[in-house]
Amino acid sequence: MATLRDKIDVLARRQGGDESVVLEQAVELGVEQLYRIEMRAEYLRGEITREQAIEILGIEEVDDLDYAHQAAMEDVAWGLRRG
Amino acid sequence: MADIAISDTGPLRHLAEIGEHGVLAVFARIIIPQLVVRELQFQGFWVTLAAAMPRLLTVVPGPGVDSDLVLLSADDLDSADAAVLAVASDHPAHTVLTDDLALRRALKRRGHTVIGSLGIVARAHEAGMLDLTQADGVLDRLVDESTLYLTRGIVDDAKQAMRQDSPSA
Repeated sequence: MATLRDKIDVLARRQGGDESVVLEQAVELGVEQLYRIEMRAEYLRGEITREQAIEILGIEEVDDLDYAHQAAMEDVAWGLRRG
Repeated sequence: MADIAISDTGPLRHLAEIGEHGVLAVFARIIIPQLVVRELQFQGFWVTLAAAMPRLLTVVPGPGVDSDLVLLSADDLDSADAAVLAVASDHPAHTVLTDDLALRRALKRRGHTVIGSLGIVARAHEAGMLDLTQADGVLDRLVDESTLYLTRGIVDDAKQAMRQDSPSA
């Protein structure tokens, strides 16, 4: 199985040998992903508004979050025979 | 009397992934379309599930190709999901188990009762199979160790909801 070092080497070779470009892209992608995870969590905790969440995550993802949250609450209510 | 359920691949797989498929015994019987069995075989979970609960699981043939295609075009579902939808249409009183939001939406539009892995764990708690701490632990492992895609904040809210008015709260 390829190590992180192997993967960086492969990507650097494919992109002309500049390892620093690969690392810069990796940081950008990683930070973007972590930021979206944090924004999802903040939205669910009510720390950002729906409008702010839509601006950051997009309407589809916010709709899915709302639906998944509602589904989880319905699941618990059904499970505990409250629904 | 425990419910009879029709299951999609997700809840069976996700609970088997963390070794908690025993909670499926909250149901009297679980009907599984053949296409779902094929997915579980491909993913490597069917042998475990079938061996653990041979009398609980009932495999039924799925719908024909033509009806699959109609359902696919209407709801943008894959063929196993479409088979679940078709079997559920034949048994409207049965609870349907799925963690797939698109399938859940399609089933709810048709008036079915739809429950995901979280609901099964909550029912296992209500039935006395898991105490509150054990149920919390299973929910945490579903998020951390299974392939169930669920945001942590949603599970934390579900755990909080279970504490309110739960049998052992």
